[in-house]
Amino acid sequence: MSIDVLPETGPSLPEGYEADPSFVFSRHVQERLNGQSIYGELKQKELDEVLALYSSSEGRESILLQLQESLENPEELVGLQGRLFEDLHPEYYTEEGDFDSSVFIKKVGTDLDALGVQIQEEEGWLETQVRGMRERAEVTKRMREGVGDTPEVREQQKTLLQNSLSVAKKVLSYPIRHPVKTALIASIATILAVSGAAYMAGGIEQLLQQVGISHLIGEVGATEAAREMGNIITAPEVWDHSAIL
Amino acid sequence: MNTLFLTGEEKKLFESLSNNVKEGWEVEIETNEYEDTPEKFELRLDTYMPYDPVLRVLADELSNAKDSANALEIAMNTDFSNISEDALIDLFYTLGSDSISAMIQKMLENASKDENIHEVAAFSVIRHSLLSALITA
Repeated sequence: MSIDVLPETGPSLPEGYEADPSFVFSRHVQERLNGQSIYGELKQKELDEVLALYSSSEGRESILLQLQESLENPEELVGLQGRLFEDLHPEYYTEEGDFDSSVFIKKVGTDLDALGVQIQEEEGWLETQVRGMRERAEVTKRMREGVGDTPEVREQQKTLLQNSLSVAKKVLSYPIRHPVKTALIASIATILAVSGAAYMAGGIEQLLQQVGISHLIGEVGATEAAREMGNIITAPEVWDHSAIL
Repeated sequence: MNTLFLTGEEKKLFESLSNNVKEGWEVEIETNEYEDTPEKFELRLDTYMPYDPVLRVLADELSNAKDSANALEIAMNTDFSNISEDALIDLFYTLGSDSISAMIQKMLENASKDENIHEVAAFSVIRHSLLSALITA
């Protein structure tokens, strides 16, 4: 399909487009995943804006968000980037259908291949992260609500856990040095520090800032720096229990 | 709350304690089994976010620590009295059942009074809750 054959007028653009151009992009991705296309609804101006979004960091974030939302059908995402570009800008393709990166780079100033590799890597990372977050949410919810076949059993478990957490909280607040307090607090500090290392390894510096050790990013290298923080007890030592108590 | 959820090995440790320490406590064998791995632990660390204000402040303060000893000192001086129940659940989930088991074992090895068994009971219930939730999730 060529941009030149697009109709001058067509169906109205989705509501909210003016306020949030990324909405159109997201909808376009969604429609593609549903086996449809709203390509015909987009005029030249909108196409240029969509392409600009895609080549900007904001556009990339939209893609990642969309990928995250669509992880239920990961097979649909394979080659999504290439298909979108082919649809959006056929002028970047040769008559044989091969992508001509020199034309693209000249016009947009972005290395599509590098971007594609990066997005594929982040897609895999995102999938793992989402799986981990889902399990965290499910397990902690079950802990809070209690596990059991009947409401009575669940309520009993819930109360037992609440009482036990109160004891753990009391241990954390002991006014004296105490081996259980030390072990628990060292574990908490390690989780705070080492989880920062994990975020850095994943390249998510914004999340790292929330953990509070972002200033450690420097010449030493983010992961190494966080590992240094984690040396209160390192992750492997927590894992094999050699540093507990 | 007078029930300890202990593994077979932990039960042996408990039974080796003096009668006055064991008195009034019942042991229930922890039958839930869950195979944790370093990879799962890394993922839990990777997805951990300290949303509780107490932990956010601690994370900030840890970032100013001069070295690991100073970091531990800062953590030890933190007031955890206002930490939320949800934050503790999230921390224990992140730590994992095997690490809680290691704590329970050491606590039993060093138990000398009833107060120590109260702590063991609490940690064993937390582990039991975690294992039950993991298995049914």
